[in-house]
Amino acid sequence: MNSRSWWHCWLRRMVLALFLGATYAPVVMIFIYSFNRSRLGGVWTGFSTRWYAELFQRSELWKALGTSTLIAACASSLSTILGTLAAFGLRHWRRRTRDLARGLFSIPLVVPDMIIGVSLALYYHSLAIERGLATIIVAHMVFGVSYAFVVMSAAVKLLDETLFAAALDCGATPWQSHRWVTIPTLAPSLGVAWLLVFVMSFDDFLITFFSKGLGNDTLPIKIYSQMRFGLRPATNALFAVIFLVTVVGVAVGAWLSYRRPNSHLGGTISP
Amino acid sequence: MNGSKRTGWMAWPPVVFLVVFFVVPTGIVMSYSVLERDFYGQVRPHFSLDGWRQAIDPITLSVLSRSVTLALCVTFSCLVLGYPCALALARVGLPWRRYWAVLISFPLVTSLLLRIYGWMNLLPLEWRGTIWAVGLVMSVNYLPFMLLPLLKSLEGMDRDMVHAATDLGATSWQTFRLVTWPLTRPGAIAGCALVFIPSTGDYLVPHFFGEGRFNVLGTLIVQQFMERRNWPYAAASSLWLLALVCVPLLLWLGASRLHPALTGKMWDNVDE
Repeated sequence: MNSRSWWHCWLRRMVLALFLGATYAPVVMIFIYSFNRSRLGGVWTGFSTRWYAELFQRSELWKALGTSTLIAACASSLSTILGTLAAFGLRHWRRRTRDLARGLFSIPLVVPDMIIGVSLALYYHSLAIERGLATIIVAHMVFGVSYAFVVMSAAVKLLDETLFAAALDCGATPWQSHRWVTIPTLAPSLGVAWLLVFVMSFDDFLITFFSKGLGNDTLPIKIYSQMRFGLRPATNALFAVIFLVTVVGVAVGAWLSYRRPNSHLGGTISP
Repeated sequence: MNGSKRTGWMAWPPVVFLVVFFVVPTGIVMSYSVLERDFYGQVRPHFSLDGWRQAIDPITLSVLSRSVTLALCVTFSCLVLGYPCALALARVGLPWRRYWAVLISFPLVTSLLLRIYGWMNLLPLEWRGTIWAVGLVMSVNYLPFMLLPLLKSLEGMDRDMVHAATDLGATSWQTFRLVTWPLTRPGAIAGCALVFIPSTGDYLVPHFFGEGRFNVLGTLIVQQFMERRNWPYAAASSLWLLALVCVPLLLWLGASRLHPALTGKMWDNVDE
């Protein structure tokens, strides 16, 4: 029995190590080859950090980064607002219509991006809408509203309505009680919803590909057009930087949301 | 709550938004698939079945069947790879299991292009253009979608059931087949749906690892839409893709209406 459980433990470690290896091996390769001196990828010729230095001189990448950030910030802010409205409003709908509306909000989560992209491109064309920043933001909001709704409806369900009623009893106007009670109580979930949609929007390729006009290249679009030239250490360096930024961003986000463990119980009611 | 009855209007703006920018555009795809293509890559407002005639010719059907095969292979390999991994994870003690879960889901927040580029660095050039390369990269990409629902249903399972089965003399295989697997089937079905659906419409992985020799619906639609500008054909192919996604989804919904346990806890947050 003892040797069997030792064997099981060993097997478990093997499985997990294999899984982690398969998941992170590509990322490790990116880091290794980003230090390759050769201009072409695939052949190691020596150590060099010149590709990182070069990244800072490529203005088109910085411009694409700005476009991506702008689009993601707008899309996630608007989606969070709409998703929160939906989470609040749907509670008071009749059961049948509410279920229908919930179905509507969950479809964009399961429909492939390809369909959202093609249908919006044809839609914009049929209405003769010039494609630009606004059309990309609207396209990202299609999935953004759905994600925000899922996060916010869970938060609204946990919301203690007596807090709001107590604020009213204490003489607050409905607006004041929302401003000082409901919104602070929901703040952590609002943050999670915003970050989630921001990340999805920032990383989106396919929907942007279909809904963007000429110009307005986001970072994924720019990188995609570079990837057609095959393996380049310069692209590896870019990805290495993006990966590190993602790690830092996720760590900061996690730290912010775990800092106040009981914050959904309303730790900050006093103004 | 007295004033809360009045907040029902708040749900209207998002509902209208999704109807205008999601439901109506999907309908527009249907109408574009029966329009006539003009010489300059635009469409003329004439009824024509040319798009559909192309969409049911043997070439498109072979692309369709390749997409289905690929999606089924990816789903199956995710299930086969993901299940042992979820079993191993479920046995890890609690603080460590949290860290593992973060490590597993972390790839989901990194860029898909980044993961693809990493695999381009890793896989030998000769492998490109085969179903093996495309399937391998897609399986690893979608593995977290399978792993997380499986882990959730394994965590929710009553461990005493397994102990009882072992005490009654079941071998480990019998315990798995008669106890663990039936109890975690909802998680497995949710995971399969979460992997199958996006893998039918994947474009980036087949594009970069297929090198034009491995055409699936995703690459076909982009090619016809962007390069050939044959919009009726692209629209009709998109409807194939939509059908491919809807059929398993409707089956799943129908099954879950008959057996509510099938959907498991995946939509707990949405349903009351």
